[in-house]
Amino acid sequence: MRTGGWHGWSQTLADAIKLLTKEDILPSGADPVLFRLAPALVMGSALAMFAVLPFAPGIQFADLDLGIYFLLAIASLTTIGVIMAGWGSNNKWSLYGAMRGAAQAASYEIPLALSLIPPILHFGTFSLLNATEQQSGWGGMGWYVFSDAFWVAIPSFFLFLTASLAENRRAPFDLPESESELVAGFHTEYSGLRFAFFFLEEYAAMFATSAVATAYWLGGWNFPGMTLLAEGSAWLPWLGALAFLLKAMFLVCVMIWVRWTLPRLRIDQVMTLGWKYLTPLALGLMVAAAGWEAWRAMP
Amino acid sequence: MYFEYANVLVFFLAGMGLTAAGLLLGSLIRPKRTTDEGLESYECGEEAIGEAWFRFDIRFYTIALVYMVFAVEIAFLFPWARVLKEAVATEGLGGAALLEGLLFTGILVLGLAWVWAKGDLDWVRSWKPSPPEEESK
Repeated sequence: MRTGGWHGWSQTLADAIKLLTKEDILPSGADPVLFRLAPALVMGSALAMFAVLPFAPGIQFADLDLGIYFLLAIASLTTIGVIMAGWGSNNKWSLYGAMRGAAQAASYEIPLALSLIPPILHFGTFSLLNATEQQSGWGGMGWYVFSDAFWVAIPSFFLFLTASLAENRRAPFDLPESESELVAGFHTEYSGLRFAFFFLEEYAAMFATSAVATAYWLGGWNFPGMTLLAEGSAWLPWLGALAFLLKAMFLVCVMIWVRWTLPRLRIDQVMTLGWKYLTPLALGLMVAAAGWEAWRAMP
Repeated sequence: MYFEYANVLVFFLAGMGLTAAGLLLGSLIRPKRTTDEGLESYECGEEAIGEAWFRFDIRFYTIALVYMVFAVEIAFLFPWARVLKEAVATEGLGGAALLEGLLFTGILVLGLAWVWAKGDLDWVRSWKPSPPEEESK
């Protein structure tokens, strides 16, 4: 396979230039407002997610009290973008893709949100910054997955990853796109840069959800050996950001790895998995976590 | 506090601005050779029959309703999860805080079980003809 220079690193740049120079097409039958607004909306919501991520001590753009609440809300906006694109294109493939996207997002938002309840119960906060700070124990290894509640933390972590794959329309849940049946699903009619923004959003959302998993389950910027640094060391933000990015990028790699490993599910299988397996599992985990944390907090 | 939300808004607008800026930059260098055929809806080379804006079987409308119920449930459960530890440790509240949350969840689980039993969670709902003795009445 031929890739770009510098061991393939320049391929990304070449792709960007190629997409920039492609003709911009607005199909004659499409709704111009919805068609144009959809890529902008998904990009806006993807970038807004990055504002609340706690990269390192002192490196966070907005520490909201309602951090995770806000993240869930803004992440759903991308689904609206998908439906806008699918309906606005006035194309039957796009409509099918958008309809599937809506069904899938509605089904997997429940387990996604429920899988976040165990860490919220454990840390007693919505703020991602506060949750990360609480995981600094044990010389930087006091992560939620290593806490006394590890037996709910580990299943809820995998549940979150699975549900976020479906939320981000990644394989094996890429039904809204499914290029082998729906041409390209909701973005069939999109060309050039507008098409590129949908993909940029997909990867940005993947990183954002991985970062949330990192902040809540994998200790955020905390890394083993951080206590060796002097109090208030200037190195801490940099090494912390590096640890955070490494953990989040590892999860992104897992998501890409899953894509090339598992075949795509059928839409009824996707819905069955969401409602009949993941939702009851998420509810069970929530009840178990609530019981455990309440028992631990009893005076 | 609200300043933080202004930060988020800046990020949101930057994302939307990025799309606009990219398209503006592209408009300087990209070709514009539109033909009527090129602007038609893509249906694998065939001429499109009618528009895509027609009535269609939305399939999952019961699932969408169940989703609404659960989404509201989650909106209420998040604050409960946030304060549960403090509430349990409070004198005179204790286990009642946990019990209330579980009761609330229990009602919804019952709802989910009912929808499941009715077959509304299936993508293609199974259809059973009504027994003949009921029709005779």
